[in-house]
Amino acid sequence: MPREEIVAIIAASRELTGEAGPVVFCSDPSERQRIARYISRVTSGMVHDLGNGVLMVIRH
Amino acid sequence: MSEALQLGVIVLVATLMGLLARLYMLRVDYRQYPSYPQGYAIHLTLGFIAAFLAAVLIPALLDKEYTAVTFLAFAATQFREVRAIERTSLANMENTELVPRGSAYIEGIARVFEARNYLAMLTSLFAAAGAQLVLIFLKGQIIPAVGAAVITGLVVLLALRGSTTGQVIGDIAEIHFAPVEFEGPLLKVGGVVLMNVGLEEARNTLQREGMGAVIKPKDENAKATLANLGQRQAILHDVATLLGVRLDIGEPDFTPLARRHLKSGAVSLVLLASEYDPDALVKAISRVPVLEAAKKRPLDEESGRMAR
Repeated sequence: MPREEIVAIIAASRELTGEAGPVVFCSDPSERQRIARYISRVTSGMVHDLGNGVLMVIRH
Repeated sequence: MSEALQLGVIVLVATLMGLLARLYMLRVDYRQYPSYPQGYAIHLTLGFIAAFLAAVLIPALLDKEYTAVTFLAFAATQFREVRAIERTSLANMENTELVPRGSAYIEGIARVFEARNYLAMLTSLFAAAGAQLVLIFLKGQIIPAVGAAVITGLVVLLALRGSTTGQVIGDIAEIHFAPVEFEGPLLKVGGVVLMNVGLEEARNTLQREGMGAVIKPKDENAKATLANLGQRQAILHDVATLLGVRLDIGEPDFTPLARRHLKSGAVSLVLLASEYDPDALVKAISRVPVLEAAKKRPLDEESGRMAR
């Protein structure tokens, strides 16, 4: 049983992710930040930045 | 003075000495609580029971009532149970803490709780022994006997005081304040990556108001102790309690974290406190107790010494 759980992925474009789990696509960086923030607050997750335009919300 | 009265006085004085010892130990460490009035009642009542049991032991033995020793065994069982209760209740409260204590810390608190009752017992026992000796040699003079009980009790108390205060982090490591640095989304303190902070506003807050510290172990024993997760969690809990942490359950970005520098064994930590105060941070860390469960001494063994 994984200790960490990927709650959501917020990606800039389709090439950057696979099809696992809830993914949100958004090309505007500040909009990505906003979406990530909202998702993390609602799910008590932490936002991590992969540096390639992909943000992940993970519950630890 | 009649024998019964003599007996009564010895038991009373010895019990009082034991109770006093317990009271004294209550103050010695603010961290060991109790932080609520019922806690005081629990600790003092148990201390009283421990002291009383030990006080009656010597007169009982002199009266050839050897079964009195079973009372002590019974007391030991009770105190062990109380320790288990203490551990359980602390563990149950863990999920109400923003920064949990960790099981190692809880175990330490429960153990100290049990140990202090035994120390109260010891103090009372020696006080009773002292009084009894004086009564035998001075043929029933009660005042010197009481004096002997008090003096013996005080001596034991002071001698045992050292055993209730353990080491603190400041004894085994050097602590330095270090600023919070960011490399992209990576938060670094003292060259160690602590976490990946994805949210920009969280990054800005941490950069502006976050505090970091580097804890450098003084020797290999300290290095092994600091590696222990329970020890690091205890540091985070204490520091968060003392300095206040800007955290809530839905917002894990500001959770205090501690990570090791893999080669040197130094521990870097980050904390977003209620107030930015580097000196307070360093002082708070240095006062965190070294957990018994975390203490390791590789240098005591030859292979430990060889692997430096």
